[in-house]
Amino acid sequence: MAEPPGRPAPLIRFEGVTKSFGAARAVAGVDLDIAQGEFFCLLGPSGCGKTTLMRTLAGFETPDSGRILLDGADLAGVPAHRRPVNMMFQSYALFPHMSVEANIAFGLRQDGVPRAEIAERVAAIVRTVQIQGLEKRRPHQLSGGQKQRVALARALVKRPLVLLLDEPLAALDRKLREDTRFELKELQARLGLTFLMVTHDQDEAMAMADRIGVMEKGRLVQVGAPAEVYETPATRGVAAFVGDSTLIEGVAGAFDGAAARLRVRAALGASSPEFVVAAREAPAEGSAVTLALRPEKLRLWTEPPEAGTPNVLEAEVWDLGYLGDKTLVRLRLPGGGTVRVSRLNASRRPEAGLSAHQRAWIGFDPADAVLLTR
Amino acid sequence: MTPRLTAFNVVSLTLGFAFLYLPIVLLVVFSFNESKLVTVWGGFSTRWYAALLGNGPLLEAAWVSLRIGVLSATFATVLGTLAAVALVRFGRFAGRTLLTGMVYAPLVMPEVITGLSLLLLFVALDVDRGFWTVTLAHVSFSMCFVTVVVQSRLVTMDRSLEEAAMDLGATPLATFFQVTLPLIAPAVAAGWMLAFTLSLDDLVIASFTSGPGATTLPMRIYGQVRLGVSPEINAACTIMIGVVTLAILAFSIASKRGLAEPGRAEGA
Ligand SMILES: Nc1ncnc2c1ncn2[C@@H]1O[C@H](COP(=O)(O)OP(=O)(O)O)[C@@H](O)[C@H]1O
Ligand SMILES: [Mg+2]
Repeated sequence: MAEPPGRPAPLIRFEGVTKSFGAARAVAGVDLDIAQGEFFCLLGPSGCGKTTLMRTLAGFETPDSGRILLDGADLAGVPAHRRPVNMMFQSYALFPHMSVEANIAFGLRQDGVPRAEIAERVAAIVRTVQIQGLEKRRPHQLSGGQKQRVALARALVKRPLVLLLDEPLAALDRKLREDTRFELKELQARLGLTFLMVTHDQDEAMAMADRIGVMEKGRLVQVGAPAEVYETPATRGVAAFVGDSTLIEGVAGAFDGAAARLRVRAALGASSPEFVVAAREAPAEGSAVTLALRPEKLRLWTEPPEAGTPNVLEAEVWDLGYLGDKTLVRLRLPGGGTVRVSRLNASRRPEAGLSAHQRAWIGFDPADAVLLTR
Repeated sequence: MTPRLTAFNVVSLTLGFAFLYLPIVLLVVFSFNESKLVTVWGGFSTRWYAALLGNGPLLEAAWVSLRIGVLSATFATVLGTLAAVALVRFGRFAGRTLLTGMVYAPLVMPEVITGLSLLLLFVALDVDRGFWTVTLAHVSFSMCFVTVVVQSRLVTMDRSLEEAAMDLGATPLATFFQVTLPLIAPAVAAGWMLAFTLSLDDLVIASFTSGPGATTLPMRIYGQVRLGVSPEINAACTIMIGVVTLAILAFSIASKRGLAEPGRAEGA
C-alpha cells in the first residue's frame, strides 16, 4: 500500500493480518490504515471476525500472519498489558469486587501513578462521563447505562493512544442507545482520541463513524465514509448488509460509453425486462451482474407512468408496513420476486389510495441503481 | 405432577436416614453415658469429656492431627488452585489431557493403594517416616479435591474480567492476585476446608505413611478401640463429628456465597 503524498503516517496499520481458530478463518488477510483522531468503525454481521480483528490489536489474539503497527512500532511480541491501547468490553467487564472508583483507578494503580494524581484524574474522568455520586457503588448496584459509563471512564482514564470499543451500545435500550451515540461521538471529537469501534448495527456505524470498514467472513470488503459505503457498495454482501436493498440478478448487455449507460437484462422469473443503468465502465457483455435498488430511491405510481419513462415495471402491491415516519411497500413482480419501496409520510394522510393487491408501477432513475459485479 | 409424600416415601426416607445416622446418634448419645459399660445407659454425664482432658496420648494425637490438617490443607490449596488455573486458563498445552487425568485419578484411587505407593516411595527415598511424611501424603491426596472445587468456579468466571485487568496494564501475576483470586476466594476457602476435613478423617493413608511419634487422632482412636471401646473414645469421636460438621457447614456456606456472588452473572 503506497502512502498517498502529504498524508501523515497512520496511527494504526494492519498488514495482511490473518487469524484462524482451528480450521475456521476468523480474520483473513486484512489490510487497514487508521489515522490519528479518526473514529473508525468495523461493521459486519455477527461472527464475521470484527471482535477478533480488534483483539489482535489489544493483544488478546496473536495473528497467524501479518503485522500490526501502532504509531510506527510493530506490536508483535508486546503483551496486552504493555500496549498503549485500552478496550471497552462488550460485557463491560467491571470488577465486581471493587467500587466504581477502584475500577476506574485500577489501570493507573498498575502504572504506579502517585496517589494524589490518581484521585485527581479519577475525579476528572468521573465528571467527563457524568457519573458523579456513584463512586462508592459496586457494579451490581448500577444500571446498564451507568455501567457503560464506568467502563468508558475506566478505559479513558489511562489516556490510551487508541480506544477500542466492542459493541459499546449493544446492551443499552433503544432510546439510551441513540442518545449515547451522539455523546460518544462528541466525546471523541473533544478529546481528539482515535476510536476503533466494532458493531453489527449499521445505523450506529453510520451515525458515529468517520469511516466504516465492512467485514464479511473475515475479509475487509469495503472501507469508506458512511455515505460512500451506503451509496456505492462494493459487493453484493455490502449492499445487502448496509441498509436495505432489493437485489436483482441480470446479465450485462450493450454499453453506451458516451452516455455511460449499460443495458442489463434482468432475470425476473419468466419475464426478463431490460433496464438501463449508469456505469463507469462496462463489464464483459454477457457476464452476470446484480442491480441493488434502495427502497427510498424507487418511485411508485398507481397509474401507468407516461411513455418513455425508463426502467418501469408493473407489479402488485403485496403488503404495506407502516413505520411512522415512512411506509414500506412490498410489491410482487410478475415473474416472481419482491421489491421493497419506501414512501416518506411527509403529511398526515398515510398512503391514501394505496391498498394491498392493487396494481402499481415502480421505476428508478438509471443513476439510482447500483451496478454490482462482485 | 408434584411429588407427594406417600407412605412409601416416608418409610423409605426414614429407613434410609436411620441407616445412615443411627450409629452416629448412638455414638453421640453414649458419649454422655454415666456408665462405664458402653452399651448400658446409666444416666447423663459429661465425665468422659473431662476424662479426655486427662488422656495425654489422645490429646497429643489430636494436636498432631490438627497441625497436619492445617499444614496439608494449606499446601494442597496452593497447589490445587494453581493446577486448576493451569487447566482452565492456559487453553490447550502439551500434556493437558494427561494432567487432567492425573488430577482426577486420586479421586477414585483406593486409599490403600495411595497409602501403599506413598509408603514404597518414602522407603525407596529412605525418608524417616513421621509428621512430614503424613503431611506430604495428605497434600498429595487432597490436592485434587481442591482442584475440582476451584476449577468449577473458574470455568464459570467471566474470562473478560482478567482480560480487562491485563488491558488496563496489570501483569499476569497482578491480574491473578487482584482479580482472579478475590473472585474465586469462596471456592479456594471451600477447597481448604475440604482438604482439612479429609486430612482430619484419614486413617488408611496416615497408617501407611506415619512413623514413631506421629500418631494421628484417627490412628490413636483405632488403636484404643482394638483394646476395647471406652466411652472416652465416644466423647473424642463426638468432638470430631462436631469439628467436621462445622467445617462442612462453613464449606457449604462459602460455596453458596460463591454462587450468589453478584460478579458471577455480572458480565452478561
Ligand atoms: N477463542 C475462539 N475460539 C474459537 N473460535 C473463535 C474464538 N473467537 C472467535 N471465534 C470464531 O471466529 C469467528 C469470528 O468471531 P468474532 O470475531 O467474535 O466475530 P464478530 O465479533 O464479528 O461477531 C466466529 O466464527 C467465532 O466463532
Ligand atoms: Mg463481536
